[in-house]
Amino acid sequence: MTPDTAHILLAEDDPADVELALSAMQTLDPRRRIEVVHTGEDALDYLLRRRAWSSRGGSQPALVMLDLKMPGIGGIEVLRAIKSDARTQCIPVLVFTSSGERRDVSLCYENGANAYVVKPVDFSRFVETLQAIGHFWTGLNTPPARSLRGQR
Amino acid sequence: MPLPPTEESEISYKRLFETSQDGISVLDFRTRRIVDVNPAMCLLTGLSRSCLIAANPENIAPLHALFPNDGSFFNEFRADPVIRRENLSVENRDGLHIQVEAVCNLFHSSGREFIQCNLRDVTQHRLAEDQVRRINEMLEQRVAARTCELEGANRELEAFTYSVSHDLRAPLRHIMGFVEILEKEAADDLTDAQRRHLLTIGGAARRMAELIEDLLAFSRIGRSEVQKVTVDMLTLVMEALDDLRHETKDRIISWKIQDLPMVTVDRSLMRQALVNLLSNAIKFTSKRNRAVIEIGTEPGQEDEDTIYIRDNGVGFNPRYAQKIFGVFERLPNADEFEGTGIGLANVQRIIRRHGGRVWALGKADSGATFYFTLPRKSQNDA
Repeated sequence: MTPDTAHILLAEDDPADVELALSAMQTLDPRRRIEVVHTGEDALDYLLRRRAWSSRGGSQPALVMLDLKMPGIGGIEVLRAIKSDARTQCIPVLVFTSSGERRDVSLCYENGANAYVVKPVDFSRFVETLQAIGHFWTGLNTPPARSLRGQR
Repeated sequence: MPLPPTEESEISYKRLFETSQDGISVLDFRTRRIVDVNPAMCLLTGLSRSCLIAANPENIAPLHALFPNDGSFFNEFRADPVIRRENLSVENRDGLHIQVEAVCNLFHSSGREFIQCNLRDVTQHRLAEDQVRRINEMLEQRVAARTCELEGANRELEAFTYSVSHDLRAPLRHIMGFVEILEKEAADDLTDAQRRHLLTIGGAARRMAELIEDLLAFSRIGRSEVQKVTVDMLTLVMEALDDLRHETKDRIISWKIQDLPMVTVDRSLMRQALVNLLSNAIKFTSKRNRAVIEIGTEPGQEDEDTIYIRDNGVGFNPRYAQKIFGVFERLPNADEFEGTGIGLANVQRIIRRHGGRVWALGKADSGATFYFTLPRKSQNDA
């Protein structure tokens, strides 16, 4: 299973944020594929190919962008679940949230986050930030080809 | 005719003896009987002078409190001619508990040895002391309770600021985002007035966003622990300038940055203070053809670094030099410049949390210099 280098999973419950993020990211590279889920449960179902995504294609995303404040399973719990499951633990997770609080930042890294980015309020910065994220995680960064422990 | 000295001192002694508030009794050391008492002693014992003379002091309340049953009282004078007793709790003749203090001393007269015992009823005094102590304890408890309440209220207020600021960020991001998208996508179909309205919405949202950021920072400064590291001030300045690249991108600013010291600070708080100071300098020089911003150090006290940020911007009236560090204080001439009025309050809060001072020098229309000090890392610091 090769990771799809242009494939990002965005877990975000706020439809306006989703629209802004899509608008910001898709302007820069039309080949980039962004899958959107609106709850933590859906994010995990997507990654583990459960329920609605049981017949999803083979590749895992090159990056999971995770909002912290989501109804139901919150971002931290999703992060813990991803990082404690051998099938998903190697997928890079970027926490993308309104909170710049130290305790949130620490908590995310303690739970295995690969990056933490505060959503800029200013739209031009928001666009700039998302372009930079896209450029790095789906351009420069090399994700592992497979999760070794998950394939045993 | 003056009295002979011995006679005069005799009279003085007698006067003191008769009028003393302390109960005084004189004991014959050999017979161990009372040989003299003053009126205060009669009051203290409730017995007349004639009853007391020749009595055994061990049988007279409250004098008896001085005498342990083993008779050691008199022997003690062989080691020390003065004996003091404090906090003696005794029953007086009415069976009430009173507190007494005593000073007894041995003296010689006409070849005989006597002991003078001064006994003082300190019950009222002790009661008053107890009361003062109780009142103090009560006050301390009240202060502690009130402090606790205030700390709780403070925490709540900060939690409130935090959550309000966070929850306001998302809708603002949406307003600003969609306004911008609308400007791009519908620009050709809009009238000039409509385009202006969109700009106004965007500008208002941006201002509110700044206000929220500053409030959030204000609340964060109060809550967070100061985690100090030693870092090059120049690095912090460069990081701050990087944060401000949006503010500087269309500007021509001549930067004069001197050698800056190593400082021991909370990196993110200090960076924030620098962002605030530098963004002020950038903002208030925006009307200058040639903006000059200088960052350097000044010689000061040995145990601290003094760092300044100087600009050639609009400056301020020196009358307001202190006021500008207050929350929501804005300079009278600052209306034409965007700002929230929290930035400098945050700077002051941050510098104070580092144990430093901050002040400003300026003149209207001829630039401003902001100074702050940071204590140097002492030998004792880990």
